[in-house]
Amino acid sequence: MNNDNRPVFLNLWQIRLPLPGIASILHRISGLLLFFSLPVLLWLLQTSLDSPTGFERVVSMLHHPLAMLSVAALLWSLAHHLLAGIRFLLLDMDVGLDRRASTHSARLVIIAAPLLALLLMWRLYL
Amino acid sequence: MSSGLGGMTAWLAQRISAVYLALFLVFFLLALLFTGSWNYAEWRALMAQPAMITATLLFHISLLLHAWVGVRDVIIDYVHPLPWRLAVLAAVGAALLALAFWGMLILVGLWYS
Repeated sequence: MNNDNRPVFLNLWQIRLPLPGIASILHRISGLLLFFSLPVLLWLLQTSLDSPTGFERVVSMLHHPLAMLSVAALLWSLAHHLLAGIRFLLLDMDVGLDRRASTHSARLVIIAAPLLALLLMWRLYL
Repeated sequence: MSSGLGGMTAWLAQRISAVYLALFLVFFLLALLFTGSWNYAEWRALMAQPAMITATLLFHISLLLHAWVGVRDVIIDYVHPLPWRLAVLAAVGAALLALAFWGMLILVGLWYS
């Protein structure tokens, strides 16, 4: 069979990724964001535990508007990665594997992650 | 692959570490949600307990193992030329080892304070 002339359709703006696909790609993106933030997080941990002065420094740094934006992005990453990860573990155990259930759970994860991030932001900063 | 982790071992390590990471994070986030404001003394007292240091050490190791398998999967999916793939894998591996060492230094410092 000759497959050389298969049509290729990869217009990213027109492909409609189903919700489970969106949850999955966001799981990857959030995981990478968390990975790249590790050195900063370790530095914050070390400095905050080092001395009262270090602790105050970390607190005031985290109140800078740009830092707050980064914290929000990280908390969303954490929330999405955690919730989507739990969903994947359940799928591994054959829970919610049919199409309707997996679409519902994907929608739930995509909506719940930013809400959880907002809740944590509110608790951290207000 | 250069990791020395076969497909099945990596798959399993990814999921076992995920379960521990999730449990630790849920407890940690709940503590964060239900504690009002933190000061240095409280933060340090929480983190310097031997049980907390042990749990954090396990979290740290699980996290880096989990990150290795996950980032490795992404690299294998997107970086195709073999020399590039090996170079990026090596860089990520070296970075994770450095982070492992750094985190352990922090925890050893807490233990002996």
